[in-house]
Amino acid sequence: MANILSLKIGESARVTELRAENHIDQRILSLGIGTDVIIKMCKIAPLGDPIAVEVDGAQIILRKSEAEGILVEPA
Amino acid sequence: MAPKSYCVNPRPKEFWSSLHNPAAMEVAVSPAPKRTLRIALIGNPNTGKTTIFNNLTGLRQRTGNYPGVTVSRKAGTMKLGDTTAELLDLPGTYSLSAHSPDERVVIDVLNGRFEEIGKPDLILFVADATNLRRNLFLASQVATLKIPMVLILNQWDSVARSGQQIDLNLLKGRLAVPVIPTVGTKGKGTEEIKKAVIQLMEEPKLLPEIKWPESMKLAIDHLKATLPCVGEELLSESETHRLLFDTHSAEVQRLKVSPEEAEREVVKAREFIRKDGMNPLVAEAMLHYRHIDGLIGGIVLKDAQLAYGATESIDRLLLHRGWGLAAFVAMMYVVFQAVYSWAGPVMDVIEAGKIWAQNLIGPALEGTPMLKSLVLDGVIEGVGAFLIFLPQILILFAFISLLEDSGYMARAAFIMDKLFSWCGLNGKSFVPLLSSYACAIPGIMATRTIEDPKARLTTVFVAPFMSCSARLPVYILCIGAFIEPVYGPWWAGFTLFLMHFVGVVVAVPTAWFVTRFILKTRSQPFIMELPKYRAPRMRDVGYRMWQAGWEFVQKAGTIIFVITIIIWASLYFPRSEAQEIEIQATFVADKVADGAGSEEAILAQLENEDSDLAREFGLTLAGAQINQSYMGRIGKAVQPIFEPAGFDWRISISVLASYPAREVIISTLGIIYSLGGDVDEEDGHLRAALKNSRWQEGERAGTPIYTVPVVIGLMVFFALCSQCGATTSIIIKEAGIKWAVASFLYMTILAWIGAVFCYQVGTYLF
Repeated sequence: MANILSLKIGESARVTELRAENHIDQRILSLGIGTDVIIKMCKIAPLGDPIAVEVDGAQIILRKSEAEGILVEPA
Repeated sequence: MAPKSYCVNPRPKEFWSSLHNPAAMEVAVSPAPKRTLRIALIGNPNTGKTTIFNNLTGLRQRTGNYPGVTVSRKAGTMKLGDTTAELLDLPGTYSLSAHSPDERVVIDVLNGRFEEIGKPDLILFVADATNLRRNLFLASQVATLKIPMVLILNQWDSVARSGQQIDLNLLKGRLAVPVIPTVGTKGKGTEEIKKAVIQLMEEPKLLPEIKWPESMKLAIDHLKATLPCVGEELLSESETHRLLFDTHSAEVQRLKVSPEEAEREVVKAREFIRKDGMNPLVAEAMLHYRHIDGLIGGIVLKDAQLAYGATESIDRLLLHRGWGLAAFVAMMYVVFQAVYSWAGPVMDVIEAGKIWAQNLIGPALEGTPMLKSLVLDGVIEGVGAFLIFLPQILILFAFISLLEDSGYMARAAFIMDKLFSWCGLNGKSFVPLLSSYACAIPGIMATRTIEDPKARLTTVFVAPFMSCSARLPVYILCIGAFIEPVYGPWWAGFTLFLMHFVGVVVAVPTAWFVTRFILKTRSQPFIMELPKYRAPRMRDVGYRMWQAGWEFVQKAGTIIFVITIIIWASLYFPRSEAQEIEIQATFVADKVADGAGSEEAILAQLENEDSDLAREFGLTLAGAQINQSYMGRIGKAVQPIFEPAGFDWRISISVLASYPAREVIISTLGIIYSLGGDVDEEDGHLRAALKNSRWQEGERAGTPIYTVPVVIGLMVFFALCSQCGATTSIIIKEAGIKWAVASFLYMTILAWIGAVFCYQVGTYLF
């Protein structure tokens, strides 16, 4: 299954599963990124990492290593 | 049955004062003992919480630390009609989860676990109105504490701009608590908040609490029954949630049982949830969000396309691969220049003020030399040398406030994170470390902008390695006297450039080591919001500067004062008249031997204070007294320790005397070489004295002390050593005494190793 890093900038998708380490999943969840949420790839930092995604009208910075655990399917 | 409005039974006013004194309710005849109302301000980061706090308290605010942790505590007094309330500004957070005691502060305060703070009577919850759903997640967790709440919807003016509509009346009806729309930066809504607080005191109202499914209730009850806290009290409902839902919860440290036993019970409790078909680690968030969706369903209409409108256009430039990096470098250059050079004129004024005070007070204390020395050389000199950092602190905090309030700080962290993440720091470490190149004191204070407590501690630990401006005089003296004359200006400049990197080369592996082996951090996520750009408000910038400056003067000042007196005493004592007479006798005998005249003629010249000979004697006396002082004796005693670095006893004393402030080495060398304490790093006499200085005895007798390897070693020693009392006192304040001691020892040992390495390898090669 694809994770959000496979999205191009500006593309949106639906979150299907969180698969990072548990304590990271909890942080991600507290920021509103959970299953069935629509997530949009917004920005990649000038040095290539981290990235910024948009959820529910807020942009959130994630490192690529953390973003890998967020699995998505086409919205 | 509770009434449908979730309203708790209205209580008379005495209810509030009797909350912590059950007996007061029964003796209603005599007035109940009055206690100030305690209010906690809580919310996500970037909601404008601090602005609301400033609006409510004005300048009536104080800062400090929570006991036992490194989180700074901010409180203020708020006027409520004819009474006042205590307002506590809790650190911004997205959730009550806590993996460390630092993160536990919010839930600890809400549960009344800090004895001197007490459980809050009321909560002001600040939410970003443009992002209600996410903000209410924390509110929903807080609601389980059953503390009356006012919900503040800040940045209300941005709601329409971000393409949203919120049905306020419907929301007020569903949430049951007072809902106040505000625009903090324009001061709108401040009075309404106060009115709501007064109303809530009359008639406490709670936010509707989440309804747990049966399996959750069983799990929670299981933990409550099996895991007592230290001191026999029970875990509260919210604390039990943390144990149940969080991996590696910091609540474990509060329990009476061992972590292993707690873990066994938590696993058992989670089984109830698992059997119900849910993943216990994500169930909490899922259920809270479901609860919130039920509360705000149909209330918020949004067009997400508009959300980041203007911000997107600015970010296209400021986060661009080329332009974005250039803008970042330019902005940081301005910050650095401001701290490094703009502070200069103000620092000169403080320096002049110090000399003015010494000249003013000096004559009045002429009759009591010891008191004069204590006041002039100890108190005024020491406190002045410390106050001189104030301009740098104020300037840096003005910039930090501008960067944070505008939303650029998050972008700076976004840009820099990749360079820092591998050694356990994160993008937010950049500004504090850059500032430390000017001065570690404002740099360490700036680490408060780092939310992750472990990354913050690591940054505090490595910040003093950055080559601060006080190291410059040492480099200039050494390079000017020994590198430039031999190797020319190009090498001199290059050496100076390299010296600025010695600290970083050591700091990076240190950060990695501290994170990996001391703090034993699992991979710390770097997850934060990228806020929308906003115009900063000058009033908030002013508060921030005032707060940082006042705190520096007040708290660190007491520590530096003590250090100053100790160092002064060790340089002054022991001192006696007999000793002075003996030094004078030796001086006169030497002069007679040199053929400068008869004993009587020399003594007569010494009587005249303005004669050259009297001045020369004054310098000789100061040099001799420092040799015989406790510090001088210690210097000579520890010289064997510095022997492998090629330092003689003079360098050893200078190095020791420089522990309160490293730039002191120049004046100490001046005193030791009997040139007086007023020399500077460009002084030709001091350079000549160092060059002519030779070993007096031993196998190296007659050879120069200051060879190139010794000089390089000395510079490396100063680059790495913890020679700044003010920095040490700031570390004590920000991270605690343990970290300050560790930092001091680590830097000193490393400095010694560096100096020995340079001397030994250098001497072998040349």
